[in-house]
Amino acid sequence: MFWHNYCYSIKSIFRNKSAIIWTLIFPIALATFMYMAFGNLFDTDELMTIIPIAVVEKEENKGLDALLEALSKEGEDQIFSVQKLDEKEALEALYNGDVNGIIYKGKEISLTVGENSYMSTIIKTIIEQYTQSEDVVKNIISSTASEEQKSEAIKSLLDNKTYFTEGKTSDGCQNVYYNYFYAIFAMSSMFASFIAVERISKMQANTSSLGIRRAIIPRGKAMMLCSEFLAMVTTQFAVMIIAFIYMNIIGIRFGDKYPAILLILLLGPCVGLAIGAIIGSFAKIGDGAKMGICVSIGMGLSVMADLVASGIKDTIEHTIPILNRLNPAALISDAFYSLNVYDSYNRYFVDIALLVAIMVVLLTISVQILRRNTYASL
Amino acid sequence: MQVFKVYFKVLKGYLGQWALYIGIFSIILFGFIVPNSVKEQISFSDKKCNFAVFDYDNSQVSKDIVAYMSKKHELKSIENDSVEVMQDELFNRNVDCIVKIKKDFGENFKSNQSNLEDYIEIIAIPNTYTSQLFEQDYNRFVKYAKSYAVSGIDISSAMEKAAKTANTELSTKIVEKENNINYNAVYYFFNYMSWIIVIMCVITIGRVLVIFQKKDLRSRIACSAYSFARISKETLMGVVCSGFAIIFIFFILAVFAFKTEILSMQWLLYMTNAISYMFVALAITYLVSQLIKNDSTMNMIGNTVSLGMSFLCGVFVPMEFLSDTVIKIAHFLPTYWYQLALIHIQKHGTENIGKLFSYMGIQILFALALVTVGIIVSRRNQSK
Repeated sequence: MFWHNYCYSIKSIFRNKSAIIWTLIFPIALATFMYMAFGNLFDTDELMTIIPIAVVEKEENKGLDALLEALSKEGEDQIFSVQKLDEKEALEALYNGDVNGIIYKGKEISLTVGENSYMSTIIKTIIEQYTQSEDVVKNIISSTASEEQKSEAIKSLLDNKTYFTEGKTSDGCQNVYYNYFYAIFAMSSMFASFIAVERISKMQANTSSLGIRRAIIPRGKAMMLCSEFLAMVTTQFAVMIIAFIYMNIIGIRFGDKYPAILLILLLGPCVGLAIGAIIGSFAKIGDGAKMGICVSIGMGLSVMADLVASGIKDTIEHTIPILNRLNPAALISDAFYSLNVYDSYNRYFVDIALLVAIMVVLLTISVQILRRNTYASL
Repeated sequence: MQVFKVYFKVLKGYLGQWALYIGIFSIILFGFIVPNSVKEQISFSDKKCNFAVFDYDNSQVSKDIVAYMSKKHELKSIENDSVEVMQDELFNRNVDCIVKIKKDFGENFKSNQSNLEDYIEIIAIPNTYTSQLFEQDYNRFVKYAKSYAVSGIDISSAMEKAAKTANTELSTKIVEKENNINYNAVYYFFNYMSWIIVIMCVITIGRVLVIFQKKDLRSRIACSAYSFARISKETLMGVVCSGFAIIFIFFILAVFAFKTEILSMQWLLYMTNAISYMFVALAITYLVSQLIKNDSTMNMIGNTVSLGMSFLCGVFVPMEFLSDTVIKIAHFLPTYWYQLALIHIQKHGTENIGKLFSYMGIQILFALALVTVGIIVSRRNQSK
C-alpha cells in the first residue's frame, strides 16, 4: 500500500505539469540570467590581467624605458602591454577603454587615467616606485655612509626581491558571485513548499473531496503522509539534480564532492517541503493566503542567503549569527560554500546536522497538527 | 464603482505580500544602500584595500610598517587568524589581505635584514588586483626601509625616511569618460526599486486579476447591469491606482531615507521615470494574469521575470560589467531603458531632457505592446 500510494502520488504530482515545469524552469532560468550577467565578472574584474597602457614621449627617459620594457616582456611576470602613441591617439585610446592609463614620459613623469580603479592605482604605484627609487638612491648617495654601505644599500634597492611569503586559505573557488548560485538552490528548496501546501491540502478531509475519500480508507494517516512526503522529495530531488547538471554544463563549478552535494540537494527540498507541510496543515487559512505565506517565508529566507545582494548573509553572521543557524536557506548556501572552499567536512557536517534538525522539528510539528484531525461528519 | 471597490476588497487580502517586499527593500535600503553611499569623486585618488594584521612581533619596526600601510589602505579587524575565519573574511571581501607578522621580525630587521620574507606572510586571494596592489605597497616600503638601514641609518630614521619617500606621489589626473558614473544612494534606491515593483505587482495585482477572470465570477458580472466597458474601466482604474499606491509607498520610504534631498528637480525626474516603469510592471502583470491561472506558478513567473530582467539589465550588477551580448539582449527588455534613464539622470541631471523622455517613451511603448499581447491572449482564452 505504501509503494502503491507513493507511485500514484508521483503520477499525481507530474500531472500538475505547470508546477513541475516552473519548479524546474525557475532555477535554470535564474542561473542562466545570473551567469550571463556576472558569470565571468570575477575573472574579468578581480583577477589580475595584463594592463594595457600608452606612453607619450615628451622627453627621453632611458630608465623609464628600461622599466617599461621589463614589465611588458612576455612571460609570467608581465604586467603591462605598452603602446607608444602621440597624445591625441593616446587620449582617444583612453577614452575608448583600449588603454587604462597614459604615461607622459620625460624628466618629469605624469600619469593620466580614465577612472578611479585598482588598475589605475597599480599603474601609478609601479611608476611611483621608479621615481621614488631615484629619490632613495639620491638620498643614499648624499648621505654620510661609507662607499661600501652606499653600494650595498643601492644593491639592496635594485634587488627585485619580495619581502613576504604569499599565503592562501583555500585552493577552492573564491568567486564571491557564486553566493548567488548557491542561493538559487536555497530558493528552489524553499519554493518546494508550494507543492507541499497543495498536496497536504488534498489530504485533508475538510479542504477537498479527495481528502474525504482518503480519510475513510482502512490505513493509517502516517503511511499516507510518509508516502506522500517521499513522493514529493523524489520529484523535488530530481528537479534539483537537473538544475545542478545544467549549472555545471554552463560552467558553474561547485567542486567535485558529488556525494556531499547530492546530500544537500536532497535535504534542502526536504526542509522546504516540511515548511509547506506545516503551512498546508492549517485548514482555516485559505489557499491564497497559504501561498502568500510560502512566498513570504521562501523569499525572506532566500534574500537573507544572498539571493539579490551578496553580503547580506555575511552581515547577519557578524551581527546576529543565530539567524544564519536557523535559516535553512543560509545553511544550504553555506554548505555549498564550505564544500567548495574547505578540504575538511567539519563545517559542512554542522550545516547538514542543523538542516536535519530543522527538518525533523518541522515535520514533527506538521505530523502533530495533522495526525489528530478527526471529523464529526464527512 | 462596485467593481472598483471589489477590486480593492480582494487586493486587501494580499497586502501582506506588499509588506514583505517593502520590508526586504527597506532592509536593503537602510542596511546597505544608505550606509554605503559614495561621494562623487572628481579627482583621482588611490584605491585602498581592506586589510587585517596579526602582529605577533609587536616591535617598533612592525608597528611602523602597520602604521604606514594603515595610511595607504584601510585597517580592519577580524576575529582571529584561524583558517576558517580568514577564508570567510577574504571570500566575503571584508578584507582583501591579511598580514601575519611573526615573532622576532623586528630583531631580524634591526640586525641584518636578511630573510625578511620568512617573518611576514600576506594571505589573500591570489592574483587579484587588490592583493597585487597591497603587496606592492608593502614591498616598496620595506625595500626602501631596508636600503636606508643597510646604508647605516638607525632603524627608526630609516622607517621615517622610507615612509616619506613612499608617500611622494606621482602627478596623476583623471579624464572624464562617458561611462564614468558615480552611483550614489539615490541611484541604487531607484535601481533596486525596479526589481521590487515588478514582483509586487505580479504576485498581488496579478492574483486579483486572475480572480476577476474566473469563469463563474465573470459570468455573474456579465449578467449584471454593468457594461463590459464599465467593468474594464473600473478594473483598469483599480490596477492603476494600486500601481500609484506602490509608488507612493516608495516615495514615503525615500522621504525617510533621504529627507530634504528629495525636494529637487532631479528627484522629480527620478519619480517620473519610476511612474513610467510602473506602467511597464502593470502591463507585465496583466499579461501574466492572462497566461497563468495558478497561484504557485504565478509566484514562480513573477520571481523569474523580475529577477531575470534585473540580472540582465544592470540592476544587481552595474551595466558596465555586462558583456556586449547581454547588453544586446537587454535592449529587448523594458528594464534596460529604465536603467538608461536612471543613468542619464545620474550623469546629466536636468540637462538633455529630450533624451530622457525618449527612454521613458520607450518604456511606455513596451507597456502598450505587453498590454496588446495580453488582450490578444485574453480574446483567445474567451473564444475557447
